[in-house]
Amino acid sequence: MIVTEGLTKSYGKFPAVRDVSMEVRSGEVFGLLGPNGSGKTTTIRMILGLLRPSSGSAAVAGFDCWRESLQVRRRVSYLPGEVRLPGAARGYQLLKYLNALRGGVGLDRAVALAERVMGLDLSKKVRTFSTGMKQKLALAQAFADPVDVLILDEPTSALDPSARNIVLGLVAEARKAGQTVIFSGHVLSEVEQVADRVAIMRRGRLMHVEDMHERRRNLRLLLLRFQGTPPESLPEELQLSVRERNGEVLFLEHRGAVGPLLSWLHSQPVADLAIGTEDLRTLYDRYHGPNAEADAEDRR
Amino acid sequence: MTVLTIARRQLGETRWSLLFSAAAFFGLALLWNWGISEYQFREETPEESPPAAPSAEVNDGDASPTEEPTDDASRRRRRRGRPGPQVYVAFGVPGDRVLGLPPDQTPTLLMQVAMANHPLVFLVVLGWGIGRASAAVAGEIERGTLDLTLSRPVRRSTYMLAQLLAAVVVFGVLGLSIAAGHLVSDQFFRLNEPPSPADYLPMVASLAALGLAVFGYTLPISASDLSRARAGIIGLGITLAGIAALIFARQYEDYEWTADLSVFQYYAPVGITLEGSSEQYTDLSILLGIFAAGGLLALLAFSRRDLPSNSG
Repeated sequence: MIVTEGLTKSYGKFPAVRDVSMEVRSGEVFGLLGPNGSGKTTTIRMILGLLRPSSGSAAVAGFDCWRESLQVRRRVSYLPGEVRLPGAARGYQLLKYLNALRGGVGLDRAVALAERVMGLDLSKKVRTFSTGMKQKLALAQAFADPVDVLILDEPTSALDPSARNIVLGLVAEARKAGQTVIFSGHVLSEVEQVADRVAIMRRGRLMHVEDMHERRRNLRLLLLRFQGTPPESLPEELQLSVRERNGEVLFLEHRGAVGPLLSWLHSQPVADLAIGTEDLRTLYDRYHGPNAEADAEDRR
Repeated sequence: MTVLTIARRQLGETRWSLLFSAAAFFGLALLWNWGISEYQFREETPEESPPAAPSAEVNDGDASPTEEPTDDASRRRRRRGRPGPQVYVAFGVPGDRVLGLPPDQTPTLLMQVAMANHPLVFLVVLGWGIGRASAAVAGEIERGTLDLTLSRPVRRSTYMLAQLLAAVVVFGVLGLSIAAGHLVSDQFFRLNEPPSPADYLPMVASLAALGLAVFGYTLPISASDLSRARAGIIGLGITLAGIAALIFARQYEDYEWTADLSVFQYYAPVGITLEGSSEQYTDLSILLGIFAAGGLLALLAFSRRDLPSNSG
C-alpha cells in the first residue's frame, strides 16, 4: 500500500531522513518508533506530499506522494502529532468543514464518534476544549474518514488512559475493516499492542523492521549455563544467535522451530537453563538504549 | 465548492474584525456627509457672522490676523478653522470643481468620494491588505492550522484561490460599506443632488483595487515564509517604500519615474469617479494586475514549497 525507496530529506547539510526504504502492506498496522528528531514526522509528511523529498520516492497505492499528492490525500487521513485547531469554530462546525473538504462523506460517523465514543460536546467552541479534547475531535474525524490509509502521528499523546484504550480499540477496528494504519508513537506498550510490524528509526534512518506476529510466535531468548566451556559455534539450522557470551554462560536468541532446539539442548552439557521472551522495549533499547549498538553511519 | 468552503472559513474567522471595520467605514461616511451637509446648507445662528466667500477661504483659510476675537463664537471659529471646501481639495477633489461655487451648489459626489483618501481609510485598507496576506499561508503555518486543510484532498492552487476570493470579498465589503454610508446619509442630511448608487462604483472599485494590490504583493512573501510577522513586516516595508517613492518623485523631477513604482500612483478614487478616463481605468487595471500577478507568484511559490509541521 505504501512504498518508500531511498527516501531522503535534507535541510541544507542536515539530513532529517536518510535513505528510508520500507513497505507498508495493505491492511496492516505499521508502528513507527523512534525518539524525537528521529525522522518519523518528516517521513510521514513526505508520504502526505507536504514535504518534497530531496531524493528517493514514496508512493501510496501506486501514486507518487509528491507529484500525485492529491490522489494520495484522497486515500489517506492524517492526524498530526500536535493538533492545532481554529479556536473560533464550534466542534460541529469544524467537523463539517473537514468533511466538506472530502466531499461531505463521513460527517455523521465523525459526529457519532466525537459525541458518543469520545464524549465531546460539539456545540462548544474549540477554544474551550482542552488539548486532549482537541485531540479526540481530530481523532474522531480521522477514524470517520472513508479512506484506505490512516496515518496517526502520536495519536494518544494528550489522552487520558481510558481515551487511550478507546483509540487502540478504534485502531483494531480499522484494521478489521481493512484499513492500513501507520501508528507513530512513543508509548512502546501501545505500539506493541496494536502493531503488526514495527519500524525503528534513528537519526533519520530506518534501523530495523520487526514482524510482531513472528516475534510473538517464534522469538525466544535462552540463558544457558554449561558444565565447562560452551561450544564455540552453534548449528546454523537451529537459527540461534549469540547475544552475549560470558564464561560458562551463553545468552542466545532463537527464531527457529522448538523441536530441533530441544534435541540439541539434550545433547549438550547444560547445567542450567532459562527460556523467556522479549518485549518491544528490549528491541527498542538495542537502538536507543544506554548501550545502543552504534554503526558506521553513527560514527560518521 | 472546495474553494468556497475554504474561503467561507477564512472569512468566518475574521468576520468580527471585518464587521467592525465595515461599521467604522459606514460611520465615518455618515460623519463625512454631516460635514458636507453642514457646508452646503449651513444654518446661520444669530451669534455667527456670515461665512466668508468660498474663494476667500482658499486664500485665507484662517481668520485674518487683524481680526480680533470679539466673542465665543469667533474664538471657536479661529481655533477650529473656518468650515469650507479646502478639506475636500486636500483629499483630492480638484479645486476648480468646488471652489468659487456657492456652497449649496458644490458637487456632493466628489466631496463624498474624497473620503476614500482619508488617512483612516488608508490605514484600515492597508492593514487589511498586509494582515490578510501575511495570515494566508505564513500565519496558518505558524499557528499550525494549515495541516488541517492541506492534509485533506485539497489542491494547493485551490487553497490559494480561496485566499484570493476571500480578499476580494473583504475589500469589496470595505468599499461598499463606505458607499452604503454615503447612500444612507441622504436620508439624514440635506445634500445637494444626492448621487445614485451606481455613481459610487468607481470609488468602490478603486479602494478595493488598492487593498487587493497591497494584498497581492504581500501574498508571495507569505507563501514562501514561515513567519507571519516577517511577511507582514516586509509587506509593510514595501508599502512604506511606495509612499516614500511617491514623495521622492514629487520632490525631484529627474526621479519622477519612481512614482510609477508605488501602488499609490495608481490609486485615484476621486479622479476615476470624476472623469472615468481610460487612463484612470488603466491605473485601476494596474492595481488589479498587481493583485493577479501577486496571486500567481504566490501560487508558484506555494506549490513548490515544503510545508513543515507546526512544531518544526
